[in-house]
Amino acid sequence: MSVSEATPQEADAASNGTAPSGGSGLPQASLPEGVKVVAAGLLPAVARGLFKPRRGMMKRLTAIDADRRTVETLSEIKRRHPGQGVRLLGGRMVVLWGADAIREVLDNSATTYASDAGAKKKGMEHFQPDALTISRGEEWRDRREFTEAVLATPERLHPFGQRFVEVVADEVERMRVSGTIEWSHWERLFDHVTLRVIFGDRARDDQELTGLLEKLMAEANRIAGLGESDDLHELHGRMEWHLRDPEPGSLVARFADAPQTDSTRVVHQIPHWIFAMRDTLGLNAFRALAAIVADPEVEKRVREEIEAADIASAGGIDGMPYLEGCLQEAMRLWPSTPLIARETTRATTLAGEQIDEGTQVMILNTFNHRDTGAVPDADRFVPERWHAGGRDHRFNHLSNGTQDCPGGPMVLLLGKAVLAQTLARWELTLCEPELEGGREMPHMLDFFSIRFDARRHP
Amino acid sequence: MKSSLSGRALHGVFSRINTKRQWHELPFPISLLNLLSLRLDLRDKNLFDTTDKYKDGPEQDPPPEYRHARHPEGRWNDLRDPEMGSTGSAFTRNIDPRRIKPEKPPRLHDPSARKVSLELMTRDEFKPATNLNILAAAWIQFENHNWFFHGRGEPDQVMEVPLDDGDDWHETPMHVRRTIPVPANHARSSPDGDGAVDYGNTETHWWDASQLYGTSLEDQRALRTMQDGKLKIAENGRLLPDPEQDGVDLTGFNENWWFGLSCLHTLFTKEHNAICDVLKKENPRWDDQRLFDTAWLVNSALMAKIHTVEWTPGIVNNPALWSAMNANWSGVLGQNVKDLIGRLGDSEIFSGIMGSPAEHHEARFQLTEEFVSVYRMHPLIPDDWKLYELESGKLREEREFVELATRNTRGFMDGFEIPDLFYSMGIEHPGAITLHNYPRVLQRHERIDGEIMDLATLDILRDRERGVPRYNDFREEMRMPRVRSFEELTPNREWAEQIRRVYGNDIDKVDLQVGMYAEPLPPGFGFSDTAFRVFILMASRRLKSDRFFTTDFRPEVYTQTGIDWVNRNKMKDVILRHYPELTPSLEGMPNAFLPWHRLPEGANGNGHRAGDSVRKRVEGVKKAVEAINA
Repeated sequence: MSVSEATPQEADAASNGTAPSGGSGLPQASLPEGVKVVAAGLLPAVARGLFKPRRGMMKRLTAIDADRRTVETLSEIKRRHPGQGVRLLGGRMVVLWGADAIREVLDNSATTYASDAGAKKKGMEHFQPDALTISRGEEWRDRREFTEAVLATPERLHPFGQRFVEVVADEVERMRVSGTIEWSHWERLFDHVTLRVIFGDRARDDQELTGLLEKLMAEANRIAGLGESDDLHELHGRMEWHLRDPEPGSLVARFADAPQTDSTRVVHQIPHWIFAMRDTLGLNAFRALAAIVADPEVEKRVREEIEAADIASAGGIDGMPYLEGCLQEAMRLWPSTPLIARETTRATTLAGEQIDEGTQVMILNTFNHRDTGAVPDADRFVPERWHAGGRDHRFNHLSNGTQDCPGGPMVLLLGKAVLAQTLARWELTLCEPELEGGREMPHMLDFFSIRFDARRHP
Repeated sequence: MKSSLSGRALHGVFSRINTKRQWHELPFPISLLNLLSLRLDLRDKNLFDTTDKYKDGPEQDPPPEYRHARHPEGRWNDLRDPEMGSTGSAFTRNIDPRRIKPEKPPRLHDPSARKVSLELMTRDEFKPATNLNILAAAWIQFENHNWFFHGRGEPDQVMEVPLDDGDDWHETPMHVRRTIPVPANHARSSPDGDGAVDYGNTETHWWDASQLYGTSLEDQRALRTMQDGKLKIAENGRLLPDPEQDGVDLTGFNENWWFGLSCLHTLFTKEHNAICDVLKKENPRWDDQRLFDTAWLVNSALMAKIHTVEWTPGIVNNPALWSAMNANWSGVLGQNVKDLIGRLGDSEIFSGIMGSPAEHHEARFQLTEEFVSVYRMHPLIPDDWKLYELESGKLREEREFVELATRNTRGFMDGFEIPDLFYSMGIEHPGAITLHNYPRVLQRHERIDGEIMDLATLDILRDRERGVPRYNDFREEMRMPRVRSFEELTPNREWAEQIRRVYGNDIDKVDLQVGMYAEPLPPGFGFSDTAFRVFILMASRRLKSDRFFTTDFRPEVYTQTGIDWVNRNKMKDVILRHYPELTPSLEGMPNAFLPWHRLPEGANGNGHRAGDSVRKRVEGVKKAVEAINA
């Protein structure tokens, strides 16, 4: 799902009725096309685990290269309907690929286009029933304001950034590695970092807390037949325990000064930060590390940047544009949020065309990020792509618009810090899977299977 | 007491189930078995003597006049341990006294009880308990005054409650009188020197109607006519004024006075005298003392019965429990279930407990501090009152609570007929016992002696002061699962956040009262499941320990007429005996604490006719009553 969220815009672009340029609205796809989109585009996203990636399923989907099929299927349909997207299944569903239409939806997210619908809402209610990302209207504004204050969204560098960078350096140093680095090391590293950043150093070894969330998220993958779980109370209790006497320098220490009301539900906002930092950022940084090490040219440039920077300081980490491009590029190539789903809260116009209330609007990152017909060098690892800055609304691993990721700046800071600290300490060789630098990147990169040979730098 | 094999088996099964699910979440009749198991567990593990242990020696001979009569000070109820339950004896505990930790600053004020009062208790809007009437609120206060009072304390022995800057309280800090150990020699020196003390009960612990009859011979002399066993009451059917306190009636216990209490005291004073009349007719040679003693026994047993079979079913109206009442479970499951059901309220089985052998289960019968705590039910009191005229059914006046309480009580009541006041209480709802429903008037309550107090602050502070544990620890002591988060405590999201704020994210600091007012109630319940645990243990003890409800509930002591009087009457009968004009409103009512019928209002055009028909019915009832009495 999306780790994204933002400030609502006053104007509702959709209701202003200006048809976007380029393309001819939203043509109707045929029934076979609709079935194909569902089978090739949506099912794999559900199968891999909407909330907690399933190890076995990732392996199988990687073996059949499922995301390549998604891209091929969507490319074929887009060739036939070269507009902003298509309507499927009698108009109940819309799949978008045009940047203008995607922007229209994301800029009105949480209001006209609600994210608290369908499988996402059902599943997330199991582990974070009042989370920002499945809120709408006034509650969404309230929770967004609180979240932005704690995560310091408007600031490029979080006020506690220096401490976060120190936590990362300490944890990378303490990573117990004997010759190889594999997912279990990486996961543990991110587990410690996440607990310390959110709750403080005292929480470093509260694996019961992250374990409870993992368990609930794995259950949420089922979507159907979820009852209220007793573990949710246990999880809330553990989080509240850390809130009693907040450790200075932790995110929870910022709660006292963050705007909040009785409907903010502060504790409900924390699980999203945990899994976004621990799981989502963890696996994306692992893929980025693999892509960097796989290409000697890229690795050389990254190492030069590391040597030139003071990676012990937040300012130093912040000023590493090439490394940042690597992280962004990994997230683009292998989006850990395969699709963003929204539901219209009222009848509206999209791409100049009428759509009904309750229409499911799908933004398939898997396809849009790799759309060779629209994205130059779509399948190549090109960190420079990100140097110009600015936003491309087709790339939504951190989403865009009103509900973009309020932790975006923190994600980049922490991700870069982990990569820089790791590369500064270790000489790495990618053992698994096969990845050839400078070539077209595979559509799937199973992070569970990534493994490096590691030699400590002298 | 050694638990039976079946008791241990029940414990084995339900203690496991109850870590995930509570009794009321289980299907009937499993829920009933679960309750039985809980009661057995509680009796085994939650009865503790404090300073004075049960004296299990041979029976002693009481002064002859108290062999078959209650003692004004509650002595000689248990013939082995004559002091048990008497005036001034200590409250015992439902928690091992070694674990009792009376709170001291800074813990005592963490967070400030006043903050809890203002931010969590204050009534935002009146939330009614729609399945009850206000008579139910008056009744429980009436009974509390029967059971316990810690005394008024001393003006110079106070606790200082810190106030927030914006607080408009008239003094800073707020001064609250400490509870004084009574008598002083009960101070307990515990091994770890926690300074825990036993507090004395100024009332008798027995269910002996001491609110009506007082707690000393001197009290009783002032209340009695000393003729035909009767209590004093004025010609006009009103209680006499207390010569020492303006506006308040003369009766056994007249603290915290208001018209609802006055009505109930009047009613049961009249009931006492009615019992005397019948006893005198049947036993013309009995002297004043014997008539008084016997009428006292009958009247107090009747009150205990009304509480057990009417008030309780009214406020814990759970279908799983009540469907059991009609089934013949006692035959299948034996005496334990029979006790359980009886305690919960079927009159037939109530009679079963009545007259069975007395049993204390190896701890002295005395009420407990925890029992006192779970009976804090001030949210029942409305702030704004509607007063009706029975005859026309018309709304006559709207008043605030202060206008009909303390020193204003008698003056206010002079403007009404007593049946008008009963009717007004009968048709209106009390407040629900939840957060944000504490009467504002009681948060700035002026006592008759001029002291101003916030009773909500007091309710919180008293538990802390007396070492009644906070909510989670209390639940653990009652062998209920701790709640782990504010989410789990209450399904009300706003409350969860407010409680979180007041208690600084620390669920273990939440006060007992706050937790009980916040937790989700079992279906049909008017108060919390947490409170219910103490209730299921103590309610049966009040009957089972009392010689006059068990061994001596027999014709030789009560007379057959007295036994029949208890068995055949309910609250409705008592009310209609003395105020038959209430018949139309109470007709067909199974329980006098449920909302009564509203009579058609005169103002709507056919009121005149309605009034006529009411009058006719009333006259008919009066004739019938006269015929019965003749």
